[in-house]
Amino acid sequence: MIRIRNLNKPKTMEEAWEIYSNKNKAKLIAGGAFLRLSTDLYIGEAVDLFDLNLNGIKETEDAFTVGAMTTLRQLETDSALNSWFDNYFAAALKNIVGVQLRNIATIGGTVYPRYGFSDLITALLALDVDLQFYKSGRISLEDYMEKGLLEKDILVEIIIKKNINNASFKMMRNSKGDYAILNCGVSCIHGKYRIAIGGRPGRAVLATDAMEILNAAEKIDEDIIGKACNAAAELAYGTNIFGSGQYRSAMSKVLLKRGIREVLGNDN
Amino acid sequence: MIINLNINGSNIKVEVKEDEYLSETLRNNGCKSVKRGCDKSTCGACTVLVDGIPVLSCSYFSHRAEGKSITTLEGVIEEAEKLGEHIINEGADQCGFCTPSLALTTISMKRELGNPTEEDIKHYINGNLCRCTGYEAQMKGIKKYLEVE
Repeated sequence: MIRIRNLNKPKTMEEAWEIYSNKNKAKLIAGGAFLRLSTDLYIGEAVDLFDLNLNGIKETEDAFTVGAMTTLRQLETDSALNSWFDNYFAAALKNIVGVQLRNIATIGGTVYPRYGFSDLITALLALDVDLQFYKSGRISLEDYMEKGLLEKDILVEIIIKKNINNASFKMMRNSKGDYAILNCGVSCIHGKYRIAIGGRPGRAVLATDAMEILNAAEKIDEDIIGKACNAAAELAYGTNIFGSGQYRSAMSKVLLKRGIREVLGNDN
Repeated sequence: MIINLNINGSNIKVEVKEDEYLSETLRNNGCKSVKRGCDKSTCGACTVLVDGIPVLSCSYFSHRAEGKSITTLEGVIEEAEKLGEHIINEGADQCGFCTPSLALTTISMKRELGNPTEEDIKHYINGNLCRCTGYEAQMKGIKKYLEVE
C-alpha cells in the first residue's frame, strides 16, 4: 500500500527542483509502476514529474534525445529509433511484463534508480549514452552507473548517440514478462566493441576485460570470442531466487557469444 | 482533489485521494469490469484504455487521468461481445476473471496493429495472465475473432 501525505504536481522544472531540493525526504515519481511493488510505502512529500513535458523522442543529426518521462513502450515502438538501431530497443524491451506496464513505466524511472534487474539499462550501457541532469549537467551513463551522483538531482533526458555500427541484445528469463535472469548488450562503435552485462543480479556493468580482448585482436575468430566470454564470466555474479551466481556466470558465456556473433555477422 | 474524467463517453467530476489509483476510482464509479487482481503491476486484470492506450489501472494514479478519456470494457461492449463469442466457443473463459481485460487488450491490439500476426498477438497479450486456460484456447478465440472481423 502506498500512502502520500502531500502530492506536488509542478508544471515546470524550476518548480519541481524548488520542492525537491528544499524538502529533505521528498520523493520523485516518474512512471510510478515500480512503486506498486512496495508492500508498505509512505511518502511525505511526493513530486510528480508527469506534467513537466519530459515525454518524447527527438532525432538530431548525431543522436536521439529521449525525455525522462518517455515510456518504455514509446521507446520500443518508435520507428525512427528502431530503424536506426535495427530494432535493438524493441528486442530489449519487448519482454518486460506486458504492453500495459510498458505504457506506464518510464525511461527516467528505470535509469535513475539504477535497477539491477533492468533490461533497458543494460541495453543503453552497451551504447554510447549520456544523461542530462537538471543541476549536474551531462554525465555519461557509464559514470553514472559506476558512481551515481554526489547530490540529489532530476534526470531530464538521455542522449543516445548515433555512432554504432551494430548492436545486439540478448537475455534469458524463465518466461515472457518475468525478470531477466541475465541480460547482455554488445555493440560495435567505430570498430571498438562494447559489452554490458546486467541482471547479475546487481546493476549492469561493462565487461571491460572482455572488451579489451576483442578490441586488441587483429581478427576476431572463435578462439578470441571464447577468451572474451571466459573473461566476462569472471565478473561478479550473485544468487537470488531466479538463479545462482555460478549459473549466471556460465550463462553469460552463452549470451555473450551469441551477441558477439550477431554483431560480427551484421558487420559482414 | 476533484478531477475531470471522461469515462466511456460520459464526462464526470470525481473526488480522488492523492494516492488513489485509477482502478479504485473506476470501480467506485460503477466500472466493475476493472478487476483488482495482483494490484502489483503484474497480472493485467485491471487493464483500461487511457486516451486509447492500454495501461494497468492499478498502477496509474487517478490524478494523472485529469482531462483524459478512459475506456473500460463497459465502453466497448458490442465489440467485446463479438470477441466473447469466440472465447466461449473455444472454452477459453473458464473462471472469467481475466476475460474483461483480455477483451479490452485484444480490442486495443486490433486498433493499434490492424492485422496482427500470431507472434504479434502473443506479444501483445503477454501482460494478461490467466491461471485457468493455458492460453491456447484464448489464442484460438482471438485468432478466430480477428479473422472474421
